Amino acid sequence: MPLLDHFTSPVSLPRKWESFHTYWAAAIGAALNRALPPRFFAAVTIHPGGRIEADVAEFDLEPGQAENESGGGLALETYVPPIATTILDAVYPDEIEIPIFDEYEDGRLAAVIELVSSSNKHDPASRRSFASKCAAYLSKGVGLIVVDPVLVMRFNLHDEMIELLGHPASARMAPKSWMYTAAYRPTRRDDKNVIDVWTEGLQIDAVLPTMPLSLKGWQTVPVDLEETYMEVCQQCRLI
Amino acid sequence: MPLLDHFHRPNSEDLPWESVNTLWVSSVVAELNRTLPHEQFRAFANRHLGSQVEADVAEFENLNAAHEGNGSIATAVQEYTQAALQTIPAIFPDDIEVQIADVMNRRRLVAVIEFVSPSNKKELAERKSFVAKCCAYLQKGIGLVVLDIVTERRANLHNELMASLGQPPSFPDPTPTYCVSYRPVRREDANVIDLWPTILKVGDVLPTIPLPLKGSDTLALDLEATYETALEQSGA
Repeated sequence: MPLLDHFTSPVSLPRKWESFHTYWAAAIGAALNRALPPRFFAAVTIHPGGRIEADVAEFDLEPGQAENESGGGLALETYVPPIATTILDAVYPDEIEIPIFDEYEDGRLAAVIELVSSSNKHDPASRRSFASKCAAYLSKGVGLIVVDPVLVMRFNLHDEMIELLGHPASARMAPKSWMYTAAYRPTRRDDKNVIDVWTEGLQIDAVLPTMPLSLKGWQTVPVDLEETYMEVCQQCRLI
Repeated sequence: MPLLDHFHRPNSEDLPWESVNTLWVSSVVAELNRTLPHEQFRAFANRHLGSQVEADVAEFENLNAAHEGNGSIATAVQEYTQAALQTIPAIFPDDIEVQIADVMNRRRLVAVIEFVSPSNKKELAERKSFVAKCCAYLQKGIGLVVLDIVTERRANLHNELMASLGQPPSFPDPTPTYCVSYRPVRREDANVIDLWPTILKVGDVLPTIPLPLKGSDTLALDLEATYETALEQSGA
């Protein structure tokens, strides 16, 4: 199944990226849960940041209001903090990810697959925000795959992360790699901390690749992007 | 109990930072678990010293991963064996955190207290890594406190975080010891982060600072009481 452009015609409006990626994330999560041993569980996390920020940042409540409104919460000792000395504007980026948890390690995060949305690439703050999130996963040794099929925003978030972490330009992808997938395996080899990187450009009408998913404390397994993409295209009646 | 300088004599020998810090983290965890509703919230320590025990973060490559820890054979799963196209150096920064999770909501992380270590402030790459981690917590709406009593390095990680967000610094240069509380919140249709930056000075009593819990109230975190407990346990 060749990759379609979900951001411009002729893919019809309801089948564009916002809806499609929800199905795709669920399909990837389900495929992982079929393939991985029971100690691992792939969940799906979807937070469209620009629309339902309250799901991420809670509404400003009066002290004690949180438990009253939730109905089932428990009372905390009331504390009214002094007025904040500074208030910053905040960016809560779109989050479409498949986190994989390791039950043998008290449910710790073993790996994450990030599906990039157009808002992740929209402006410098959003791009930096996404890059920070990825860098934070890698700094905790969590395996990571980023899948970016967003052609309409001509930026490369792998390059943003490389710049954020101060790596040399040689670690960047080829120029004009606007659509791509990248996999990262944090590991320790020969007494050095390193991150193995696999990058691959994506092309409209080309078949999607199989990427390595490194599970912290375990092995690296293949994730067949093509198989799940085709499955979702069928579900969305795109083929 | 005034804040001591744990990085220079005489306290660096009798009350070294490594020891006091470990006990301070424990004291904060104990205090939070004593005061928070136990049925809803749980505080626990998360401590990884990157430069010493990296294997705890990034697993050694030669682990026999096909065998589980108890000796039984894992479910046969196809392994990806293709070599990486590129290998870049990595930094696994010191992680000395108190994490507070909402156990009634799938152990959702609601707040983190970061105890800054000397290595977090050492090199540019380590500072960037720490800042990225803090940004990642804030993006998820998690309440955050950064607590830095490292007198031996001048960097100010909060100012670096502000710079990464395109904001002016909160502290004058140099301010090596400080604490900051961050509360991500949605107010009047805008996403904002409330900040409470406080300068900490050796010889001063430590303040009580806000500890915002995602989806709940903001707590009072008494740094003085927990620090005093840590020093008592250190034999001060």
